Amino acid sequence: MQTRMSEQRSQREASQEDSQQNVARSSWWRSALFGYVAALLLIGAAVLFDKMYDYISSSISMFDAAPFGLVSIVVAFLWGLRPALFAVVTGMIALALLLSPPGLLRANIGKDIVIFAPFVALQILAVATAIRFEAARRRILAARRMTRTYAQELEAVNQRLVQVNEQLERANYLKDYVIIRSSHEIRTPLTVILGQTQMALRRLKKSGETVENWSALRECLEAVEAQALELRLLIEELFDLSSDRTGEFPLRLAWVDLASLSRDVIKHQEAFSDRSIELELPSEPVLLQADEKRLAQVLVNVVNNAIRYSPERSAIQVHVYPEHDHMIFEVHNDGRALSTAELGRIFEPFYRTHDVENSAIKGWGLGLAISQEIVERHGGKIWAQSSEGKGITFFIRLPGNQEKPT
Amino acid sequence: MMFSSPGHPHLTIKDESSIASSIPPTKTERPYILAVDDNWSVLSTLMSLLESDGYSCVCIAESQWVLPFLQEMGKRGEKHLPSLLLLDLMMPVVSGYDIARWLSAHEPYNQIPVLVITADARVRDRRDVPGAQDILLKPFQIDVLLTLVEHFLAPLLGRS
Repeated sequence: MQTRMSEQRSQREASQEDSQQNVARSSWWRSALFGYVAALLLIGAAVLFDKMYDYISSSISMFDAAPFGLVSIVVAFLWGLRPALFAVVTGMIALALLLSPPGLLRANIGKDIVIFAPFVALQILAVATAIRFEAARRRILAARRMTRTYAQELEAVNQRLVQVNEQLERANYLKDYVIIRSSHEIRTPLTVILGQTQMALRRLKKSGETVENWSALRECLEAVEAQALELRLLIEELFDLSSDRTGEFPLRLAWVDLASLSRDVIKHQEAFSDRSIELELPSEPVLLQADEKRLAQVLVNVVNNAIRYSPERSAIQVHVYPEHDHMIFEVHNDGRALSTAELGRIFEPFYRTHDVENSAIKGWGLGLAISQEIVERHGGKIWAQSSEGKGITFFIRLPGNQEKPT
Repeated sequence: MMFSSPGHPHLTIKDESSIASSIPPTKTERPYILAVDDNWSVLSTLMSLLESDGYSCVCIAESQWVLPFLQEMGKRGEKHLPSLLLLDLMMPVVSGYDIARWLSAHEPYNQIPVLVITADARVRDRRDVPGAQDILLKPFQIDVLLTLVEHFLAPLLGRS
């Protein structure tokens, strides 16, 4: 959950940066520096226009300063305050030096100011208005863009929330299902324990402590012990499943050699099952940061499954090999191929395929669910592949560690 | 491995035709109790409980053989049908629900009282299982079971 949220946050930050970059990118030609150059060019154009006008129609005289006022306002709109003030000043200088009747701006400064000052003031006022207007327009545009971006983000967040909600609902359903199934599975051995003890007590009460009753008591105690052991195993498995899910007990990480761990597990499983298992290991030790006990539990689970769900004397292959910066532990057996639907459910707690459920093979269907939790806690992944005539292959991929312990 | 009766604890039924040959008619004369549960430990506990109280008992652990067995007994005559059926619900292949429903719909099998013994706590009373006369939740008190069994068998045994 936490990683998902931080992921969302960083995505949002990234998209904000992106939108800022968009603004910058779309207005590269509106940089202040470009504004100064453009102001100079436009003033040049204004001078040219005035000269040409005078040349073409000398009969009707025009107010020479008007084009410069226009340039200042255009520059203000497009490039803001500084280039606009630059345009005002440069425009006035150009007007004075290139267009004014001789004598102006040279003979009587006081008179010049009287002539030019109102026009300059007017330009500055127009420039200020243009800048405020443009700034407001930009703010509106930016706000509109931001709203659009937020709406899109909100939509994406909503979609993710819907997905997360579905996942949570599924998880919650599974939790309830686990509790119901567990209580069912616990009731069965308890029935035997309670039935046997009550029966023995009844017998002792009825006919006293006779020799026959003592031997009956022994049988009863054996049945009780067997069921109590069964119950203990179930409770241990339920505990593992639950504590791995909540992450209540941290993994005891240390350097583990996957090759030697695999060798030990397979040796033990071979002795236990009387089956032979082909093992292919890299020549070098395969060092991983892992909780050795929990990882061994996973390997035992998948190898034991391969033994139990494949025909007697059929081959089982275990292969350990590196893949990029990960290590793969692969177990193959020639059991019945699983359908896609079955493959999708085998990691669910208490799930057993229909034919296994109807077979004499005992089990609750918790081993793979526990294995998945353990592997995922190690930052790895477990999955299975199966196709008709090709048996079943389980893959466990664990992050390998490049740095070796000193 | 699924069939057991007093003196024949480990009879095996491989197909329907073997039922007639493997179960002598003397073993299925009333009154006897048929117990069905896929868990062998529960089944043997039930069997020793009932037998210690003097009841005759036949056990089936693989539920797919319950209906063929009953039909075979039906052929032998009504007096070979069990006086009571103790039935588990959650069993592979054929569930207890299916067995109870089938029995309630077929003569003369609907005469057999069905006492459901289940570990499914969602089943609260007999209305939850069509065809069942009563429900007993695992783990049960043996006096409760024996009282119920006696209640169902009393009319047949002539006890009051």
